[in-house]
Amino acid sequence: MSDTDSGDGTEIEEISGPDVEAIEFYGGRWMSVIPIGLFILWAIVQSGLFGIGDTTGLVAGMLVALIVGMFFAKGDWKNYANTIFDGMTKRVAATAVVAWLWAGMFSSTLQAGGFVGGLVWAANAADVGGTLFPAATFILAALFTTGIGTGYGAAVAFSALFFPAGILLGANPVLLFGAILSGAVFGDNLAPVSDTTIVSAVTQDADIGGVVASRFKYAVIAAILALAAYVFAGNAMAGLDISQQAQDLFVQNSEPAGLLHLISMLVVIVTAVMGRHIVEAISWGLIVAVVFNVIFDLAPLSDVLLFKVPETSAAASWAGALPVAEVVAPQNAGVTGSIYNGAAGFFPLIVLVLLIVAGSEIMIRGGGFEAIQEWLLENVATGVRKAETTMVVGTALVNSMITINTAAEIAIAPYIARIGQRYNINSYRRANILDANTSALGYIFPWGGGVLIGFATLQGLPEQYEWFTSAMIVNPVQVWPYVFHGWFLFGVFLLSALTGFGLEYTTDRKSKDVTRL
Amino acid sequence: MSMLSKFLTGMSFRSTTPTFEAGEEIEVYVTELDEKSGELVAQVGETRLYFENGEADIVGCRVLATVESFDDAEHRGRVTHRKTLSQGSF
Repeated sequence: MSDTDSGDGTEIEEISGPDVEAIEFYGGRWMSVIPIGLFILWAIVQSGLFGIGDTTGLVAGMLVALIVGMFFAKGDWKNYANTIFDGMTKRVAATAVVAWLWAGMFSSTLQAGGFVGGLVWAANAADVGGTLFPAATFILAALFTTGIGTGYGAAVAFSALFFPAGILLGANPVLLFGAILSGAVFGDNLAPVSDTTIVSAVTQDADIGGVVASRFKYAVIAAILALAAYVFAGNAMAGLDISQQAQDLFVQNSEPAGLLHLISMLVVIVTAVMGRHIVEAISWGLIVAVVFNVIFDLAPLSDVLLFKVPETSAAASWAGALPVAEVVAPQNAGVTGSIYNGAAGFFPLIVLVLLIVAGSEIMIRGGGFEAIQEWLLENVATGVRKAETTMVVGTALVNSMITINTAAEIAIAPYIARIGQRYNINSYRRANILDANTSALGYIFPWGGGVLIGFATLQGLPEQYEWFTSAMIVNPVQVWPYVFHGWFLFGVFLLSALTGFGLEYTTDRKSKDVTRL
Repeated sequence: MSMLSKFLTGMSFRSTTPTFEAGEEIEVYVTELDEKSGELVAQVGETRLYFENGEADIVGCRVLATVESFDDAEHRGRVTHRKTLSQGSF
């Protein structure tokens, strides 16, 4: 590329690195869509058709798709192979990886510290009856997910604890499950440590703190409507009559000090919104969470980090005295704790994002990306309102097909960026459209990953409680109309796209540089 | 920008044709090379800003530009390219 700078500005070469080499495909530029297209097909079959929510399975799918795509590339395949390397080393992927690792450590440490126990205590202290319990569950699940960032984690934790408690109080089971999923949508959308929030920000060149602050208005509008709907429906929909005391269940799992982690959560949110780097923001939150865990006896240091030293080790004689070590049989040796498990939990997703970005790079250099984009801009996104509507509906459609919402978000993100940049739609707005519809749709449809993981938890309840019968389990096909926050969030964005509510242009305000996040 | 304004910015219904003032310094993505005039264009919503200078290879890049003039009725303006800041995502 030539020097396009006028004056003392940065040269393009310094920004983009060496020239990119185009890849030619047998059958034309559309054939470069094969790796990503095949992956999407794999994802639909694996998650949508077979109902397997295994991220490593998607990694296998992307690997197979990259190999198949290579056979359609013309000339020396070295160029195709190098493009995989170039895609995987793109900053967008590396930034998401770093943010995920930090977010994983933080959320896992909050869970180890009994955050959900604190919320159980709050629900018990509020003493709400069966009719208001779905509304209260929505608020607490939203708080919980905003703290830990993973809606899937919230779906599991709340389905295991709040669902049986709500049933005992006389809440309607379908409404209750819908409220849990709604809370998961809220936090997945808003939390700075949410994987979808991180992807939405880094792919649209926006800082995470600014993204969280700018999407607050949409989330709150949808949440107020959803809360009102749960209050109304809670009164209208009857619960089950079970002669058991919910109190016992609450008392067993109640941990008031766990609520201290609301402070850990706020530390991350406030420092991120203040404009500090997300790595710094989460590190402060993590430090506060670990200190709270230890000082208030919420969890020992060994729950945060534990070296399982084999008894055959030379250090076995003294290592056991350390607070973060224990001596174990050789076959049980290893490292564990929330820092270890939280980071490790993201490993499959990290590999997946690297491979998807590699597949996207092949599509870009092969011309397939340009072809789809041209078609969209000439036929669908022909004005700024239509462009935004296309972004909303496109994100929703891809998420309704690929049920692991982060994977779907990564796949659609380049189009949101390109279409939005064509009309100079602000990076915050683009990130918000991308994430809201990703978060919402991932918890609505019966084949959605969040719905299925909650359903799987409900299926285990009859084994835990004698009074809980299989008839009380809510089937995923029953719950989709009642995920009120998901529907309202989608509706808010559809209306926003059609009317220009919340629309900002790149000229209105600058996002912090993506390198600062 | 204050903490509160970060949360409240954008609480309005925005026009599809934003307006600009002469002398204003803006950051925009360069949209295309206009086929008819041969000029570089940054499209902000439905408003079109034509570049007085710049090479074709900045299409898709985020640039710093100064607004030289703006026609409110036609939603058209003329800008000068000052500096190329970055390429677009992807």
